[in-house]
Amino acid sequence: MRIVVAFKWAADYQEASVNGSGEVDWSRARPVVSSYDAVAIEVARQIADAVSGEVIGLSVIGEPTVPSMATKTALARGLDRVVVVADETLNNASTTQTGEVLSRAIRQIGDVDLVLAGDSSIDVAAKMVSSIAAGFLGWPAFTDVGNVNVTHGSGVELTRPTAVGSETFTVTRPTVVALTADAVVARVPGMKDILAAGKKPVEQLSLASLGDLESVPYTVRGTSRPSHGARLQKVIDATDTSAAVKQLAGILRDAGVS
Amino acid sequence: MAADTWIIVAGQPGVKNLIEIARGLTGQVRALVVGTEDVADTIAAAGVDEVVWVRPDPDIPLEAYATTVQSVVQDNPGVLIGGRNPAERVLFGAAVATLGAPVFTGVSSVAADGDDVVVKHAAFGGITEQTVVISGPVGLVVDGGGLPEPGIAVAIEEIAAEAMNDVRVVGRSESTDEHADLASAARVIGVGRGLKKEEDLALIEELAQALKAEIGCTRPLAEGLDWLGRDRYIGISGAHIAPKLYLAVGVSGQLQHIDGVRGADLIVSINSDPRAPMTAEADYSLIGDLYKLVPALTSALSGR
Amino acid sequence: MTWKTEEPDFEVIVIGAGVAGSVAAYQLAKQGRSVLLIERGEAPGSKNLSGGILYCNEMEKVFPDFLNQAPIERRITRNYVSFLNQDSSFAIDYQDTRLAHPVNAVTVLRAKLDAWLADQCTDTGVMVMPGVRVDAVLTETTDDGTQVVGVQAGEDKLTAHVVIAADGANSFISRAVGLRPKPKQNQMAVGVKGVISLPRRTIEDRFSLSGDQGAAFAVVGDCTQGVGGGGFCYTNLDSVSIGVVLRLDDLVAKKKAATRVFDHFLSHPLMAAYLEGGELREYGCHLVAEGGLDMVGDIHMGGLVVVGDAAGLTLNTGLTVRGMDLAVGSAIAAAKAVGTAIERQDVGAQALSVYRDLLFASTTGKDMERFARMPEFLERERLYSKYGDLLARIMHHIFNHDGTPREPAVKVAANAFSRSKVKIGQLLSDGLAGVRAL
Ligand SMILES: Cc1cc2nc3c(=O)[nH]c(=O)nc-3n(C[C@H](O)[C@H](O)[C@H](O)COP(=O)(O)OP(=O)(O)OC[C@H]3O[C@@H](n4cnc5c(N)ncnc54)[C@H](O)[C@@H]3O)c2cc1C
Ligand SMILES: Cc1cc2nc3c(=O)[nH]c(=O)nc-3n(C[C@H](O)[C@H](O)[C@H](O)COP(=O)(O)OP(=O)(O)OC[C@H]3O[C@@H](n4cnc5c(N)ncnc54)[C@H](O)[C@@H]3O)c2cc1C
Ligand SMILES: Nc1ncnc2c1ncn2[C@@H]1O[C@H](COP(=O)(O)O)[C@@H](O)[C@H]1O
Repeated sequence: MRIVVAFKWAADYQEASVNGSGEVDWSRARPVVSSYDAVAIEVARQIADAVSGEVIGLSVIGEPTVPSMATKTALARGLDRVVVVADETLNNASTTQTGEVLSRAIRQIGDVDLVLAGDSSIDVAAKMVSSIAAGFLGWPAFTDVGNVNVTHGSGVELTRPTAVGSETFTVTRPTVVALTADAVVARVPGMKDILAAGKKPVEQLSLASLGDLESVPYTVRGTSRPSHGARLQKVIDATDTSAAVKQLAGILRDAGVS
Repeated sequence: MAADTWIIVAGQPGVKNLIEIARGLTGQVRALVVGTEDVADTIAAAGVDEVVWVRPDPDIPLEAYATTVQSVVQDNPGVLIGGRNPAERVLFGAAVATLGAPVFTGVSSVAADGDDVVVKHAAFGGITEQTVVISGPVGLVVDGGGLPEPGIAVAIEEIAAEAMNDVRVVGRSESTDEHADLASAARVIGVGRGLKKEEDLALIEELAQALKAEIGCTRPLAEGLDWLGRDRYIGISGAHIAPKLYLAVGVSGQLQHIDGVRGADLIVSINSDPRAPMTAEADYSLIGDLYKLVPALTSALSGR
Repeated sequence: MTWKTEEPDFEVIVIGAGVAGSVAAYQLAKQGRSVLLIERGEAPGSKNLSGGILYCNEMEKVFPDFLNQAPIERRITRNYVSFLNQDSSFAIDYQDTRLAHPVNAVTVLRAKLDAWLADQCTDTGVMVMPGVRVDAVLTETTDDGTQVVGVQAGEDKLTAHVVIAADGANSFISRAVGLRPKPKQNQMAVGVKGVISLPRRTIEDRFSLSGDQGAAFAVVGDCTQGVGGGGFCYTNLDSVSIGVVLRLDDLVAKKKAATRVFDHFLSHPLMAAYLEGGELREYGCHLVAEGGLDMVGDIHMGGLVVVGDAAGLTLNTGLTVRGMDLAVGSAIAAAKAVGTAIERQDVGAQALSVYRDLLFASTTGKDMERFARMPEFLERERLYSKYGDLLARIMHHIFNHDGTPREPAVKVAANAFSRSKVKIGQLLSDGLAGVRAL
């Protein structure tokens, strides 16, 4: 069974800083293997170990060269090899472009039975890339999936929530699955894993080799700082529990919410 | 911009906000419904101009109708609008791929500007707002917002649906947990990791009773700890709520959580750490131990 | 002679990618050694409390073009020493453009500096391994005593000829091998530091700076609410590093919470005016070793040398904390000693003792000796609780034109003395002790 894991080398937006005009400065935010994607890698590894399959990491990076930390960290988490599409023109690629590039690379890799992704990236957090990639491939996709099991041969069984509970499906054809953060606990790579990662194959696909993209571009006209209603930010000292609680009860009463 | 707008509906009709955004644009509003007849009927009466209905086989997941969705929307590249539920995202993603349209989440306004579309949306988890211009089709992911107001129904056009092969439903479970409706609650208590043990939820439940509030939580309590249902977590990837009161208990107030409560009228925080980001996001903050403050507040509220 | 013939996984393993560890690893790799640099943080610098003033001389020995290539923030041209009182302050302003040519001190943010240093390491062939916490060192008993032969993290073990412990002030590694005792409470201080973002222009306006000039404030008095220690405030490009350093024993004795003292300092009118409108971007607590020379003790054994903060190499000069330059100095000495030892195929305790000799022959070692008495001086309580008050009274009299005839300054001073609880004898003794400590 050949499994591809789409992983993003990205920085958490909580570590970025935003200036008064809404421009985001990522320079202090260090990129990591996006936390959901680390979970996807772990799930893939566990499946592959169970059916003696292969796990290929796939990442789209908007830089001219592949940062070695990106591939090493991902490989140390249990991938067998990595395929990267790195190209400067993909810097700030749209969610749709990313999905399209992934779909082309998946075709190029060939004979893929299962694509695992994270439910959300940690910078863009659109939760859309995996479904869009599946859309370009013409494959089924599932998001918010808490569990994937291999059933027979190359088939998988998976569960995703509904408004009232959950549904379980079997899929016996190539499919794309986006996993939630708690699908499994991702391993912390050990020293030996990291050293081994340095010796695993990394293949770079050129964007040109994937053909012309169909996705429509867009332009950013401007940014602004979100204007959330300012809060009162009043602090009630609660060293005296009953006094503090009384004060709060009064506030709630006055506001008509209790 | 003369192109029409497609709303992609998957399985559930709570798409009020999607319709509102669509109505703000010129052109026809068409809904593509993959779901039961009830769902199609509700949407038909929701103020759209046209409904195209795909009746799914109950043994086949909604997601497997992605190719049908693609063939419907490809003839009319305009604005696509979809919701955030799992199946909604998949069908919407398929539609977006067909048109190669860029997608935006956290949309606050959409306007036509000549042949272009101008979208203002919250980017990077809401830390900034971007105004983007698109000169082709565009996809917008929008929070459902509950059931639309019923009005005069338009006709429903049912189309033949062909699902993808080799995908089957093999089980369904209904959660025993009462389905939470945080979106329409007037008072919501949000519990965070400040709570030490699952048993301690009893304290929160008592407070909720005294306050007639619904209980919500931060993500770690729902995903990971599993103390509360997934439908109860609030934030960028969970519920977006707009109650009269949001009372955060032991919640640090990370951006992703705060994103879900921005609509609240009054925000109160109980947290032992004065430096928790929550303090800056709240109108009032009680700095102290929740294990003392919550029971005291419960009795203060019920003792009257 | 202590040497293992079988090839280890790496010739040298360095624990901790702070300033000390990265510089040591870089230099050994430059010598052609195979080096593994292990850091428990997700990325080098991620765990390190950002910021501070770096005296560059040592760094320039390692990276001759350091000032142009490294991510430095500002060159310090203005130094202030401020004595804070409840609501007033008195400052000595020493500014000198000569300070900038050649630059002596620059501000740095550790997240950037450590990342840059790690990149230099990677480029020189060091295997940089973040996200791994070393749990123990591996030892063997030889005729010469205990010999360190590698490290262990989780279940994985890796071997080396020499291990360099660069794991910071709380060095668990050197304690675990019984080399160094747990630091005493009065040898440790706790630093609370925040980084506050402000627009570049605002910083330049408020601190009267232009270009890449920077200002450094050392603050004593009310800023620590009577706890032994001081406050500091340094300008970066578009942020300000601000914090307090508090003696651990005194903090415990006075039952004060370090974070509250920090809050108090930030809200002091003097500081508040500089920080207004800023946003707290980073915040953290960290231990500072400030036992001075007394704390250095044993810093090598068979197969192991200890560098930087882990070796107790920090100086609290009363007005500034210095550690990064000493970390570099010790790394230079260590790299030389370890390189030579490996070349001569003897990594026993005797061979590595060269490290100690090199260290104490260097500027770093000399500085440690020069400031040897500082810790004792800093224990004098009135430094923190009374002098600010005293100076403020004097200044108040001089500057407060209330219509009464001006008194000569000497009288004002005498008056203020009698009201403050400081005895003249104490003042003299403190002054003297301070001078001697220097
Ligand atoms: C891509 C992405 C998406 C995410 N989406 C969401 C989301 O939608 N919703 C969400 O909630 N999170 C989300 N998160 C997680 C989020 O970043 C935070 O980790 C999470 O919100 C923190 O939860 P918490 O406040 O319960 O826990 P913590 O951050 O651990 O905070 C616990 C708080 O309790 C306080 N406390 C402890 N003891 C006591 C006591 N005895 N009395 C009073 N107070 C006490 C502490 O001071 C602390 O402030 C997301 C993260 C990522 C990366
Ligand atoms: C509040 C404050 C202000 C200061 N101001 C200044 C200043 O202005 N100027 C100045 O020169 N100095 C200043 N110092 C001192 C300076 O920060 C230190 O002397 C310097 O950081 C020492 O560098 P180091 O490399 O020895 O240790 P550290 O910088 O502490 O680095 C140790 C590294 O080891 C890692 N580590 C620890 N244990 C393990 C393990 N088991 N496995 C793997 N990795 C591990 C840590 O994560 C860390 O990255 C200040 C200190 C404080 C606390
Ligand atoms: N640049 C990328 N390279 C590889 N995979 C990606 C990339 N961006 C997003 N993904 C995958 O798509 C998932 C959802 O991302 P997003 O739609 O940005 O929230 C991530 O968890 C990844 O699995």
